[in-house]
Amino acid sequence: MRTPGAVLRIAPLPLAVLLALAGCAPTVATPTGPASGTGAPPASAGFARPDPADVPFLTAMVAHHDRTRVIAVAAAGRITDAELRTLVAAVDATEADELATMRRWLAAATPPGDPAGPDAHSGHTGHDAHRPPSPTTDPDLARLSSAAAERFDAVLIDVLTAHQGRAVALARAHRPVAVGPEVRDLADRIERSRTAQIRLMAGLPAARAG
Amino acid sequence: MRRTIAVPLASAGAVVASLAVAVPVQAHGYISGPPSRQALCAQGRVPDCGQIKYEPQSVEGPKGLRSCNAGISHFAVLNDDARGWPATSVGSSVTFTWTNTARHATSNWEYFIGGTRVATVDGGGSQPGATVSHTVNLGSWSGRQKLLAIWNIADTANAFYSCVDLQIGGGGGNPTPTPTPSPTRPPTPAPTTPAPSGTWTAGQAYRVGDQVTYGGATYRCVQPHTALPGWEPPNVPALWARI
Repeated sequence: MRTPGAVLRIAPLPLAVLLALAGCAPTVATPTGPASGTGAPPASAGFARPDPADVPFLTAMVAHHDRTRVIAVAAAGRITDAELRTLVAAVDATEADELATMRRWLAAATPPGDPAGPDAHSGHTGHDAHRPPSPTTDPDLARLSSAAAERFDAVLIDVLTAHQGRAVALARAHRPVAVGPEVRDLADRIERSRTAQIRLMAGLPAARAG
Repeated sequence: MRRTIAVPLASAGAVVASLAVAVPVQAHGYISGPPSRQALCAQGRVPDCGQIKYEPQSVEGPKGLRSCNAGISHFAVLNDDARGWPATSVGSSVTFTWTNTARHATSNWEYFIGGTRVATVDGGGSQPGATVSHTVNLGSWSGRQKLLAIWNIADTANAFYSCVDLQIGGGGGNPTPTPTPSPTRPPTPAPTTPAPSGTWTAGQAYRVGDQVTYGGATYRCVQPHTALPGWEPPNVPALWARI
């Protein structure tokens, strides 16, 4: 169950996202050591704790990835075009990995026991995974669930193009100000792969028909 | 620009939505090679599998089951031995590769044929990599067999289940302990899908089992996809397993 408290801890995010988009990623004093914030890349294997300046981006991307996975669930079994179906499955699989990685980083960024921990809701909840999403609370899901079968691919392409476009914008805004090299690499990969996904979808027959 | 302005609003919406909506847990793991039944569904090699096609990694149920579908009714197709599952021809020693999309701490992995446990691999309670490979000796078995592989998670009561259809041949040793229907096909050591090789190329469509080289390393495709910039093999363990 989501508790009302969960809303409170998420509420500051839009401001952080706005700052990140404006190129004003907050500079936070980091007590962790000389390497932090100086651009000296820590050894890749030793990347244990993201810089606080990277946390708002990672938090926003976790929410974004969660959302991708909700859309993928809503699309399950309804996609006609085989190429689109393959793409959505691959997007879902790759974002599941990225999600796990980002949650691990964010968990390391939060002191143990901090109730604002970003990983607080990533616990293993068994078959909650199969509970249907709710179209009543979400315009995109409402569009997908009400789309006629022959229009579904076009609607999904529309929804996913806008959604991945937001990932491109977030990543493009954060990459130049990213502190951790791993986070910068992630932002770079997100920007490039989502741009390519959008281009791929634009070339599908359903996109042209829509 | 409209898109830029839309981002924070939409992100806030996404967060709200993720609170209101049951977000799928990032599950989990399955055997990608030799292809398990769910892998064959995901590849489209066995059609009309239903939902499992999109989440071959989600066959999760309580520990101790002996079914291919973990007791999940909408994955019941995995139990249906009459679905014409293609069997992979193997020798007496078989390397099974798990693709793990969430790397749960592992109690152990178990491999069963019929009611017999043919192998156990201890996980030591630690977190596995994105892929895990085990080589199992099946020298006591021959002919067509349905192998059940189980990934027992250390910190939950659950396990992940994968059934793999094998045509076991070649290996000598003990007599076959169970009656085997009819080993009609001659044993061939070659994998069922010949894996094209070459340098990883963006824009190329890859199928499970395809092999590419990238940055001096060789990778095997574990999830069908069209290669994209940003999805280079070392960056996407969900798509490529390093060999």
